[in-house]
Amino acid sequence: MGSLRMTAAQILMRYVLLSWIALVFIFPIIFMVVSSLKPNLQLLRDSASFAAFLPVGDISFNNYVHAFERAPILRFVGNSVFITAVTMVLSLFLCSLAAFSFVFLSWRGRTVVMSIILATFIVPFETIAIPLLLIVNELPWIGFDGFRRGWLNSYQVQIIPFIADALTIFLFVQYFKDLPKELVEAARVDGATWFQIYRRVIIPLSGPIFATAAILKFLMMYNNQFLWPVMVAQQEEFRPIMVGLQYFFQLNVEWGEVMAYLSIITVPVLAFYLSLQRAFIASVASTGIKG
Amino acid sequence: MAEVRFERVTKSFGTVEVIPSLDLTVTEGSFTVLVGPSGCGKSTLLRMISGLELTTSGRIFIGGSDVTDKEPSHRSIAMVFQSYALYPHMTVAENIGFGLMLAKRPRQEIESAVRQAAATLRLERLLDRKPKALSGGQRQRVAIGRAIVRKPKVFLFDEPLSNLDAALRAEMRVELAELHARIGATMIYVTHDQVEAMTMADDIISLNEGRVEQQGPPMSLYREPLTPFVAGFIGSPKMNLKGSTLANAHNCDMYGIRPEHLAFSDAADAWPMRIKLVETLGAESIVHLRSAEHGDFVMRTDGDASLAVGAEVSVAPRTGMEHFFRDGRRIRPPAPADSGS
Repeated sequence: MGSLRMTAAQILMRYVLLSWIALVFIFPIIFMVVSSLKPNLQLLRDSASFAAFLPVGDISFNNYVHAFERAPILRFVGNSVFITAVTMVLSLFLCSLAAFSFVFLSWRGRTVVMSIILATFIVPFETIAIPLLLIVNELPWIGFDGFRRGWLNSYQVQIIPFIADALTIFLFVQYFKDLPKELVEAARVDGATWFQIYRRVIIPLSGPIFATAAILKFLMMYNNQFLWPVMVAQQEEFRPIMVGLQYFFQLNVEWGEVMAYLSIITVPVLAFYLSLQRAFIASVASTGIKG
Repeated sequence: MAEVRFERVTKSFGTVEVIPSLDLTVTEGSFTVLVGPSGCGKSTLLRMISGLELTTSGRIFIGGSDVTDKEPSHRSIAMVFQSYALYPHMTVAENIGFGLMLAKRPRQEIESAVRQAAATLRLERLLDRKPKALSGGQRQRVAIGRAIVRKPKVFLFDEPLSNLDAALRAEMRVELAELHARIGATMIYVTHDQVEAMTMADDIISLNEGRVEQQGPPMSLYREPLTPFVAGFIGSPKMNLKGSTLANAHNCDMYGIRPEHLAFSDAADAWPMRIKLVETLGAESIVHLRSAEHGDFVMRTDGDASLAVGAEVSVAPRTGMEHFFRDGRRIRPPAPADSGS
C-alpha cells in the first residue's frame, strides 16, 4: 500500500467523477422543473438538445396556472400527505413494537411468526390486491358519519392495510438486536414495565432507525399510491397524487402541465427527505443497511 | 438484609442441563462470592436470583419469601452488570434515579437519594454527565449507585470488575468491601477471578458444572479444599496436583501440594529436580521445576534467592501441608503405603 494521502490529481479525478454522478441523478429533476416553465411546443423542440435543461425561451408559470385549473391539485397533495403521514406514524409505532417483541420478549413461536412475516417480502402487492379488495369491501367501520359496511372511498382503506410491513419490522429487528441486552435487563431490575422499557430505554436510543424507517415508509407510500387507490377510491375527494396524474392524460396531453404537476408533487418528498437526511445517513452508515 | 435460599433448583437451556438439582443458602448480610471457571453456571445462578432467568424447577427464597415466579423488580434485589448497562441517553443523576422515578417517588426524595448515593460513591461532580464522558471506574460506580438507591435486600454483582484495568480493579475491590461493611446488605458476587474471591468474600461458593463443590470462608477453601477441583481453583499459582507415583506412594489417587508449601531441602528424601524457569516478581519468585520421577512442579519462594535455570536442586513439601484426595474427595492424611515423603 502506498501513502494514504491522495495527490492533487487524484482529488480532482474524484471530484470530477462525483460531480458527474451527481449530475446524472439531478438531470431528470432539472429537466422536469425547467420543462414545467415552457410552453408545449418549445418543450418538445428543446427536448432534442441541451436546451431541455436550460430555462431559456418563453419562460412563464402558465403551466402551473393551467395545471391548477385542470385538477384539484391541492386536494390530491393533501390527501397523499395525510395518508402517507398517518400510515408512517402508525407504522413506525406498531412495527417498532412488533420488533421489540421479537427481539426482547421470549414467547413460544416467535421465530416461526418472524419467518412468516419475512416471507411476505416475496409476495408482490398485485397478487393480494383482489383478495384484499374483497376483504375491505366487507369490513365494518364506525366513523363520524356512523356505522357503515365496506371501506371503499375512504382514507382508512388507503391507510390501514399498509401500516404493518415486513421491511419496516425487519429494519427495527436488525437495529434492536444490536442494542445491548443488559440495558433491557437493567431496566427490568429497576422496575420498568415492558412498555416503559420500549418508551424510555429503546426509543431514545433508536433515533437513526426511526428516521430511516420513516423516510423509506414515506417514499413507499407517497410514490406508490396508484393501483390500490384506483381500485378503492372512486371519489375524487379521497384520491392521492398518482391517481391525479390521470387528469393530465385525457384528450390533449400538455407536457408542460404534466411537468408542472410533477414538480408540485415532488416538493413534499424533498422537504421530508431533507429534514431527516442527516439522521438517515447516520443510520445507513452505522447499521450497514444499504438500499 | 436477607438470606437467599435455593431449594432443588434446576436449570436447562433446551436439552442442555446447566444446573442439576441445587440446594444452597447464602447467609443474611454476607458477602458471598460465586466462583468457578467459565460456563460453570455461576452467572446463570445469579440471573435466576435476579429473576432475569427463570428456573426450570425448584424454588428460590429471598428473606424467607418465595420469589421463584416474581418479576425482577419485585424481588428486592439490585444488580450490577459486567458491562455496567448504564442508559447512554441519560445523565448520571438520571441513571441513578431511574428506578425511583419508575416507582413514582416524589422528586425531592429522588434528588436526595441520588445526592446521597453520589456522595457515597464520590460522583457528586459527575451528576450531569452522560455515561460516555466517564471512565470505566466511574461508570462502575454509577452502576453501583443505581443499585444502592433502590435499597435492596440483596445486591447481585455479575463480574463487575472484569472490564477494568488491574490497578482500578484493586481499588474497586477495596471500595466494594467498604461498601458492604457500611451497608451491611447481603451481597452475591460472581467472578472467575479467585483473587477477587479470596480478598472480598466472607463466604465462597465454588461451582463446577452447575454443582457446588465447596462452600465456606476463603481460608477454609484454601486450607482444606474438599475436592481436587477446589484445590486447583483456589490459590495462585495453583496447587500442584499429582496422580500416579506420588498418589500411589500416599495411598490415595490424587496428591496435592501448594507452590508456597514447597521448599528447598537437604533432607535425604527430598525430591531431586531441575529448574526450568524462574518468574521473578520482586518480593517472591515463582520457580518452575521438573522432577524425573514426579513430573512438573511450581514452587513459590523468596524473591532474593539466586536461582539459575538448569540448576539441580532438592525440594521437599512442608510437613502437614499436603492434601490427599480419593474418589474426588478429600481424605485425612493416610498412612504411607511404603516410603514416606
